[in-house]
Order: sequence, then C-alpha cells, then structure tokens
Amino acid sequence: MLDATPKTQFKREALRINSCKTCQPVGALYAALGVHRCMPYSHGSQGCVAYHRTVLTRHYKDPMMAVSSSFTEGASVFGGKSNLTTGVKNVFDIYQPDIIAVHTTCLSEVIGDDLKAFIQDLDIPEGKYVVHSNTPSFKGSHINGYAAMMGGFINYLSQTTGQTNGKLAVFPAWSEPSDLRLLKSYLEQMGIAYTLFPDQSGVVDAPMTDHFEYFPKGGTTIEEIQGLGDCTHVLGLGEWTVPEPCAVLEKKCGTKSILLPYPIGIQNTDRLLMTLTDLTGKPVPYAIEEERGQLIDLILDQHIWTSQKSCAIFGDPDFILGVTSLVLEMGMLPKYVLTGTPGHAFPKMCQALFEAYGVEDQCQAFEFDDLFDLHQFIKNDPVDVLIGTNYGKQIARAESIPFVRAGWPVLDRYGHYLWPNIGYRGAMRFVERISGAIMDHVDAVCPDEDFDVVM
Amino acid sequence: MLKTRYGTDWLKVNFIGIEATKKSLRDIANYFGNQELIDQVEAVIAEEEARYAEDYAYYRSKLSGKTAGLYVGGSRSHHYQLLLKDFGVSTVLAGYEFAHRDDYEGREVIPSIKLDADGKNIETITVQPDPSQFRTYLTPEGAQRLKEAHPEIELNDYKGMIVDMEAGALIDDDMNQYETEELMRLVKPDIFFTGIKDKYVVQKGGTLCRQLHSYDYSGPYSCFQGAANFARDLAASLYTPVWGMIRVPWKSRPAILAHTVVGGED
Ligand code: SF4
Repeated sequence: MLDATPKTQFKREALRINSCKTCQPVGALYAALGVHRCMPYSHGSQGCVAYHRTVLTRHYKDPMMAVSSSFTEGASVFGGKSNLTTGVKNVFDIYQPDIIAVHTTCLSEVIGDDLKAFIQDLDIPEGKYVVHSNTPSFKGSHINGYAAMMGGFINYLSQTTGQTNGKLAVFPAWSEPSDLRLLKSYLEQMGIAYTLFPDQSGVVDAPMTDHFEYFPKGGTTIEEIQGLGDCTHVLGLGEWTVPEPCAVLEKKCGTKSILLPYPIGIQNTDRLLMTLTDLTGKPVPYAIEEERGQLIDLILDQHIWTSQKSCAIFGDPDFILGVTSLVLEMGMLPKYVLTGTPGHAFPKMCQALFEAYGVEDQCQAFEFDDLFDLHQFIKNDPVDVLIGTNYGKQIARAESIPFVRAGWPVLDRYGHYLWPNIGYRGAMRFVERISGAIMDHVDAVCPDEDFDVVM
Repeated sequence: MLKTRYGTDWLKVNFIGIEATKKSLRDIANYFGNQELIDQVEAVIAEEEARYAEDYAYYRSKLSGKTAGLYVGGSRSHHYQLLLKDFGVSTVLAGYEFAHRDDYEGREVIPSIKLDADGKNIETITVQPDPSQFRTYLTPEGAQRLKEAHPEIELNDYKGMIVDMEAGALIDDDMNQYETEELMRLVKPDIFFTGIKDKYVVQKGGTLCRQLHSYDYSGPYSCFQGAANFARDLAASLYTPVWGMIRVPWKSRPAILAHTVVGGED
C-alpha cells in the first residue's frame, strides 16, 4: 500500500503528504461539546462541519451534533452576517440549546467576517448565550482550535465577583472522555472542589438508553464557566495546549495558573497529584498510591519486552509528550517524536525529556511534519514499535512493525474512548498494549521452535 | 563411570561465558592434539571475539562493579559466575538446590562423603572395566605429554564451584525461602538469578531478579553471541528507569507546601 514510499528524503517547504493534523474547527467543535447544553456552530459552508462531525463521530461512535451557517455563493461574496443571524435564531428556536459556540472556518476568515460585531448585533433570547472563537484553518491545527474555543468561552462568560468560590479550575488539553472521568475521580477521591473545563465525558461517551438526546447529561455548565474567575487557581494540564486559555482567564479575571505536563506516565501523574496536594493541602489517598505501585510492578514484570526497544510516536503535542515521557520511563527509546501541529516549543519540550534520560543523541522531535516523512525516517532507520493515531496503520503494515493505536483520531477501532490514557491506570493500559503489540509480533513471525505459550 | 568401564576420558566443559567457552574449545582441541582442529578453534575464537568486541566492551562498562547472587541447579550456579565475571560482575552468593559436596568442593572430596539418609535411598552402582570394549584415546605417553604441554587441562577431574569464587562470597546449599530473604537482606546483590517461583518474591523486595531456568524468555546465553545477549538483557534490566521510581514521591518529600502557589506568574 505504501510500498512505494522512497527511502531518499527531499526537503519540502510547502507540501505536506499524509498530514498529522486536522483543521482548527474540529478542535473548536470538540471543545464546545464539553459544555453542557451547548450547540457547536460552524460559521462557513456545510461541507466543513460535515467533515468535522464525521471525523469526530467516527472516533467516538456517538452523535456529534453541530450546525452551520450554510454559506453559499451569496454569503461568500457579501459576508455571512445574515446567515449567522438567521442561523442562531433557528437553532435557539428548534434545538433549544442554552448556549451556541460559534467558530469560524477558512471561508469566513478569508472574507473577514467580524464575528464579535455580528454577535453584538444579535437578538439573543433571555438567559441564553452566544460565544465565538476565530479558528482559521490555514494556521495551526485542531489543537489550536480547541484552545481558541476555550478562550472564546472564557472571554464571553467568565467573571470575578471579588469573592473566591474556593474551587480549583482544571483546564485539560484535548482529552478523551475516559481521561476526564479519571481526572474527576482523582479530584473527588482527594475531596477537592473543582471546575473541569471543558468536560466532554457524558457527552461523547453517553450511555445507551432508549431515547436520543441532543444535549446529554455531561459538560461543564455555563455557571461553572462564569465562576472560573472566582476559582482559587487554574491548573493547566498540557504545557503546549492550555497556556492560551489560562492566559485569557488571567488577563480577564486575574486568576493565577499553574501549568503541568499532560499527565500521561508515572512522573507526570506524580506531579499532578503532588501539585493538587500543594494547592489544596489534601493528601493523596492510598487507593491512588496503590495504583501507582501496581503500575511500577507491571513495568518491572514486563520490562524485558520493552527495555531498550525503540519506537516512533506521533500525534498531538501534549498527548505525545506524555507518551514520550512514559516510554522513557519504560526504558524505551523514542527515536522519532512527531507532530503535525506547528510550534517550535514542541521539539524543545521533547529535547528536555530526551536529555533527562541521556538519549538526546538517539532521539529526534519534529513539529509541523507529516507521516510521509515519518515513514521515510523509519525506512532509513527502523523502530521496534509505532505508537500513534490510526493513520500509522499503513506505515506499520508496509514496514511490518507492531502498532499501538493512541491519541486522536482512532477511526478503525471501538471502545478505546472508554479506557484512560492518563494517570496510573492509563499508563498501565499503555504498558499492556505496547508490550502486547511487541509480543504479538514475535508470535506472528518467530520460528516454530521459538513459539511458546509462556513468555 | 564411562571412564572406568570403557576408558573414555572426560573433560568438564562449559560454554557459558566468553573465557569459559574459549577454554572449553581449546581444551577439546588440545586433547585431540590435531593441529588443523587447534587452528580452526583459534580462527573461530578470533572471529567471534572480533564480532562481539564492541558489545562486550560496551556492556562491560555498564555492568562492571555490580554484584550477583545465583540459586539455580545443574551447574548453572557455577557456570554463570564465569559469564558474570567476563563483564566485571562479582558473585557474592551462590548455591544449588540439589547439589552434592563435590559440586561445590571438587571431586577430591568424594572419598570422604558420608552417606546420608537420602543417599542411602539411591542404589550404589559399582562399575568394572569391560575388557572387550575398553579403549583409551590417549596412550599413557600421550596423556603424560598432554599434562606437560597443557597443565591447565583438568582431564577427568572437576575442582568444584568454590575455587572460582572470591574470598568472602557466600555459599548456601538448598536455600529455603526464609534463608533466601535473609541472605538478600544481608548481601544485597544488584541482581539475583533464580527460578520463576522466587523471581517475584525477590523483585517485590526491590532487587532485580532474572530467571536462569528459562533464559527469562530471552536468550540464548551460551557461547560468544549468547554472552552478548546475556549482557544486553542484564543491562536493559538494571537500567530500567522505574527502579528509581518505586518510592512514592509524595511520601518522601520533606514537607507538604499546603496552599502555596507552585507556578504561575505574579
Ligand atoms: S475549508 Fe478550512 S475549515 Fe473547512 S474543512 Fe477545510 S480546512 Fe477545515
């Protein structure tokens, strides 16, 4: 399938082949799904939101409701103000969300639609809200769109009353619903009052009932977002993604933020828990400590299968920084760590991790790169395991490398969104899957005399 | 018994360990005294050592100075000491489960071994020479010549495990669980080699433990390539970073900085 990928690499400036990112509105839409009774609204033509909903639905296997300004030639020439005005009215009338979160698309950005002015002129029903973010897709990636939409909600809604609400605000980088559930369970086990924003759990992993709801139970409430300005601190989880919304909140309400790496891996999770203790004085309960011990036990038990094995990791910045940290803890060598999202900070953050383990000569990190490049790197200097989104499967097949699906999107498997990646439990799952993939490969290719039931 | 009945000489050989493999190959070639075989053995040794020289040097730098304990059967507690020594790892504790005194002390103690209850359960076999098939490869003069030319060859003899052990190293025969734990506590080896049932006991106590009954699902560990495999596995195990993460970090910090900001900008 990708057998024709040549070994020889050429310097490419403008062209990306098999990109490792998607467009900003996908992230904006996903962030908006993390707000309770919110209707994501794409200001552009129908084709854009059709794609965004499709890719999200294919990953989560759940309804991803969103609407569009339905631009045609007219709006494209004269601007989309009237489309937005009619669209917002229709959505409030027909679907009755509490809030509409508008994001722009390439088209509305190129026209130069002034969303802020458009929204000021809207006739918004009492008790309802419309917020927006600018998400031009010719810049950044879905990760930038996610952060921009968080900033949009904060800008429109968050306030300070001058009195603290005693809650800790937690801003996660793009997270699976399972990870948000685990995060909440940590906070609850420690007895910490919190606002998690956004929170897609209960929305994109809703249970089977006998009736469909446009707005399932999950999501951060409007009141909670309003109250962000009164929170004691913001804990930002993901040093690449969430500085922007943290800065927006600090600028608007003065709330101080603490940034931590996305909590994948032992030490990143340790830091999260210790910071929670530092901020609240609440100790880490034994149940969590026990999970940590089980994880260490598992890594030691299986280490002979992963120690010194090399891997390539690709996907979104904070997620793969966490995975990189975990594989280093497992004694693996993350030879190539690659994201499609642009940003010079990413390779620097990876470099710091490589240096902490003394492997900087053997590992490389790339930003704004693509999977064609990754395939060529692997062709020239192979790895033992490939870890990343479903788009790695062609490379894995062409090169016959064990492949571990992780990150977003994973369109070709079911149920992954139910199991965590973060925390000690998430790390256990990674360890099980990475060693499992390596061992499955051994079983598949080893000679009969080495094929054994005990491994 | 083969020697007594048929006259067949025997050599104790061992292909676990680089130096041990070399000695075994040379002893065999020198026993036969065939120049072509002797040359061939030297060629093989030179070729194999050159092939793995870089690996050996690298892993020696990683493993040198570490200590090991061994508790396995069938000569392994002895043989693996030699392989460990090739990489600068000293054995501080060793024992067998089912060994006899001569396995530890050498064949010279056989006449002084007293029969115990166990021994009495086993039928004693007395072997007599069989004149119709008795044949010795070396003539008495040949044997004498071999002895003079190659005094290092221990023909028809085994000097036991102890002679290869450093002063101060411990030997414990047929360790039980309690003894294993106590000795681990006293001797604190960096690596302990044993079987699957003990492996996780030792590991839970915070010491690396690798099985030597099954190569721990890796291997092979014999001869020249096997030595490199063994060293690679050992280094990978010893340098697995989680060894340094066993302690729960929030328990070992001096004080909890309750209610203080640990980041952010003022
Ligand atoms: S036109 Fe732009 S916003 Fe729309 S789907 Fe394409 S890249 Fe995304």
